[in-house]
Formats: sequence, structure tokens, C-alpha cells
Amino acid sequence: MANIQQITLFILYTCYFFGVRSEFNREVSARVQDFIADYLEIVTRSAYVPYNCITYGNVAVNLSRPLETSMKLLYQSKTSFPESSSIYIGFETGLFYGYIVQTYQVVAVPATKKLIAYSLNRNGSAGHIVSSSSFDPRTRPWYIGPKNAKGPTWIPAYISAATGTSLFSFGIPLYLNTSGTTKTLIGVLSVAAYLTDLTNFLVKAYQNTDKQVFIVEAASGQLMASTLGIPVNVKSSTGVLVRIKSSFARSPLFIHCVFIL
Amino acid sequence: MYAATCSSPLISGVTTLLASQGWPSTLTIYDGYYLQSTLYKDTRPGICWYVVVLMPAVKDEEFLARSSPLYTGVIIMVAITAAFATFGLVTTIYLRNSRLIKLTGPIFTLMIIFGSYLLCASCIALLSENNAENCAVRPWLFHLAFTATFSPLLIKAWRVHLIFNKKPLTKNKVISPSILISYTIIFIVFDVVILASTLYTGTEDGTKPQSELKQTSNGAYGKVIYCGYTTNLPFYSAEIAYKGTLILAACYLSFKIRRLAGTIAGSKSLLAIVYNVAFLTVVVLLVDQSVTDVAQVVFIQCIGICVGVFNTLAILILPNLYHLYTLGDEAAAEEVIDEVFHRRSGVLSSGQVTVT
Repeated sequence: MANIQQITLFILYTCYFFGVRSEFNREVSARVQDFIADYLEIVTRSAYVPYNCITYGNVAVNLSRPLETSMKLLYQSKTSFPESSSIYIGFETGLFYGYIVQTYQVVAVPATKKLIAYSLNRNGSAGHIVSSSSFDPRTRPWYIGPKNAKGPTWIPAYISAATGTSLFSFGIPLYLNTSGTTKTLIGVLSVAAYLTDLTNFLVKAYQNTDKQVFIVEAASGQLMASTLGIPVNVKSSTGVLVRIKSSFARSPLFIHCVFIL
Repeated sequence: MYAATCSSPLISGVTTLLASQGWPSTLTIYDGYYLQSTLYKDTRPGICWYVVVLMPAVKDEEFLARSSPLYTGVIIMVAITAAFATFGLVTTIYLRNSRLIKLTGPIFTLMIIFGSYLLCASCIALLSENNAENCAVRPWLFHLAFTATFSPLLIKAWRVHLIFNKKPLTKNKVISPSILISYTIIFIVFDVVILASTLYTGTEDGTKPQSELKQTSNGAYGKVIYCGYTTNLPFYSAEIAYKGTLILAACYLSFKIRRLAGTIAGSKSLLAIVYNVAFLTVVVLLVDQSVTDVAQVVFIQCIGICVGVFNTLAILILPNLYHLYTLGDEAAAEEVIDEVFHRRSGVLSSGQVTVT
């Protein structure tokens, strides 16, 4: 009789143990997903805040005025949501302006396709010229994606033309008449998130735990972020070069990044 | 940077493993980590990510590792057994010219001591990881050591049964050391044939380590490395049949000679040793079948081997030493011969009483 009781207790304990363990594992996975969902929600909010202002007319802006619109709409979003490193608008005309990392960049005369990068003042205004290059926003993935999707969408990881680093972005197409049956696309508002920023977010979230997390893009197999201290980018959102491993420095991606820079 | 070719061996290894399995959501063990991947899809289109969580894992040991306290236990048991075997070796060699030791057959004792050393070595071979060398050595060393140790007991039981029970009037009562050794070699050669024919003909890999993704006791899937022979049914069947036949034959013969004069025929000792080995073998086999933890299984096997060897040597050596110490050589030898003559008067002559 005593043996039967012991066996029953053992079976019950085993069931309880594995039940608790599997529950624990589900909880961990769910928690990680919550962290990621939180991060992505912040990024999307940083795009929706200026988008809603434009759509509902809360803030009187003239979209054809780059610096005014940037300072009134985009800079608020950039400072309020530091998780989104860059925020900018591209137009069907070729006009482009916005904040990329710690610079204000603009293609003021679309016909010239000349992108001028300025240093950033504390109030969001343009400082001195940092660089200039040729640029057409309409050819970039962050523009093409939402345009083709005809709605808000995430853009898979790609290399930034401005910084040469890996990032993914969230874009919302801007239409001239959203209430009517026909919509005319005028441009795309986009928020970029650098992979280093996502990595830093995860590292901070899991710094006092024994868990490690990494994220792989399902379609491409690209490593999006990792708490294992592996660099997934060559520059942080603040423009500071992050420490890279020697094996990574020899990789084609790194060489490609250096070439772009 | 692609995860599969990442500079971190952990990330690249985990990604390759999960990708090869189609990114399962089951809990898996890899390189000391529990890992679980979940597909994350954002509420807005465009994001489809595999999120992989790694946690330190307590993996089932597939061998008795140095870090385990049981490892130290095995080393202590083997050391005690080997020390006792050395005591038996030294006393047998030192007292080889005494009449009592001559009557009990020192070659027979030395052969069992030699086999005991091999069995101790087989316990050491059971430790550590399942690499190619260990996996190749283990079955050969244990099975040949067992045969080398046990077959002299069977041969002695058979000779005693033949001389005292079957042909009590025969003049030649002596089995020479060369015959004892050659008969033992025949048993060993037969075991070599069984090992060679079953270990390598049944499977392509023979004894080589094999890896398999299995659900471990903690519910996670982990890569388990085991020696190829552990799943070789013909090998186990043949060896159990062979060793079982040896033990059963020895049990039968030692039972038949149980009433014979003790010291010379060694009937009582043989009965005790053989039944002790049979009992331990059955117990170890039963416990092996009911325990899943590999470290515990190895520990139990080593207990079985060491206790069996220790008991065998103790039963074989200690009573003779006690007689020698308490009575003295001459008196002890005379007592043994008197015992034989009183039980089998007229059958034996004093010059032909050594059986082994």
C-alpha cells in the first residue's frame, strides 16, 4: 500500500514538474514576444503621431516646406520616441526631408536629386552642411514598400543609403484625398529602426536574466538582433561605430558598408 | 549578417539546427541551452520573425562524467577492489610454496585475480564520454574479462564434478595448469568470435558513437551521443545467452559438488561464488532496465562488478589464509587431507589430491 502511495505521489510530482516547466517555457516565449511587440509599437507610434497630425490637420503645416514641417512634426516624434532613430518623408515629386540619426537631410530641389545633410541643432533646425550626395527617395525600399502595399507596412531589413548600416523601417503612404474613392499617392512617411537599436533594447530587457534571445528574419535569414553581444550593425543610431569582431570585419557585409560610407 | 553564417558559433549552430528541422516550436537542447523558437508576426504586415530564446539547460548526462559525485564513487570502489586483488596476488605468490596453498591451486587463484584486474579496468573504461576509443574498448574489455574470470570457476566445478562424482575410481585426479589455461583460452576465443561476429556484422558502424535527437527526461529534445553497441540486439542477445549458459552451468555443477570435501575441491567456495555472481548479474540487469539515468546505470554496473569481484576474491582467499594463520601450514594441510580421506576413504592418495 505504501509503495502504491509513493508511486502515485511520484507520478503526480512528475506531471506537476513538467506541467510547470512547459508553462514556464510558454511564459518566457510570450514575454519575449511582448518585448518585441512593445518595441515595434513604439516605432509605429512614432510614425502615426506625425501622420495623424497631417491627416487630421491638428498642426498647420505645409508639406512642401521641408524645414518647417520637419521641425513642427517630425522632430517632436524623433525626440519623443528615441527608439526610432530616423524619421523622414519622401514625395512622388522627389522631394525628401527628415532626420536621419543625428543629421537633418533634405532634397530641396527634386530635379537635382541632391541630398544635403546638415548637422542638427537642439531645436531641430539645420546646422552646418555635413555632406552632399545624389539621392532619389522614390527608389528606396522604405518608399517602394508602402507604396506597393497601399497601406502601413513594415519593410524587411536593408542597408541604409545614408549610414550604410542595416535597418528595418515602418512606412505609411500619404494620400491626397483619403475620403474619396480614388486615392492619389503623394508620398511616404517612414520611420527607421536600426538593428543595433533593437539589439540594445533586447540587451537592456534581458541584462539581469540568464536568458539569451536572438531574432532571425523568416524570409531572408538575416540576424535582426541578439543579446549575445554579436554586432548586427556597424554604426549605432547615434552615428558611433560599435565594436565589431574581427571575423565580422572581414565579412562581405562589412566591406560593403565601408564602401557605401 | 545572416544568422546561419554568423560569427557566433551558438547563433549559427542554433539557426542551422532549427532551420534543418523546419523551425519547430518544441523545446530542444543545444550546447547546454534549452532553446525554443516562436514565429512572431506583427499585427501590421511585413514582419515575420523567428524569435529564439535560449536558457541554460540541465541536460541528461549520457555518460558518467568527472563532475559527478558517482564518478568518485566508482574510482573509490575500483581502487578498493584492485587493492584487495593485489593483496590476494601478493599473498598467493608469497605463500605459493606452502602445502595448503598448493592444495588449493595457486594458478587457479592467480587466473581469477588476473581476470579481476581486467574487470576493474572495464569499470574505468565505463567512465567518461562516449567517444570512439571508449566505445570500442568497453564491450571487448568487459566481456572478455568476465569470461577470463568466470571460466576457471566453471572448469574447476566441472573437473571436481567429473573426478568426485562421475569417475570416483579414476587414478588421474590432477588437471594441470596448462589444461586449465588452455580450456580458459577456448572459452575466451569463443567469446571473441561472438563479439566479432555480432558487434560488426549487424551494423555498419559497429561500436562507433552515434548521435540522435531524443526527448530527454526533462521533456526537451536533445542530441544524445551513445555507443553503437548499446542498440545492437544480436550482440546483447548472444552475450546474455553465452554468459547465462556459463553461469547456469556453473550453478548446476557447483550445486552437484556441494557435499564434497571443502578445501581441496573448493565446493563450498565455488557454490558461494557462482551463486553470488548469478545473483548480482540478475540484480544489475533488473536495476539497469528500471533506471533511465545513464550515470546511475554506469554506477550500478560498476557496483555489480566490484562487489562481485570483491566477494569472489574474499571467498577464494580469506578462508585459506585463516586456516593457515590459525593452524599453521602443516596442520592445515593435514586437516584438509584427513577431511578428504574421511569423506572419500580409499579414493584419493595424498599425492594426487590437487584438482586444479
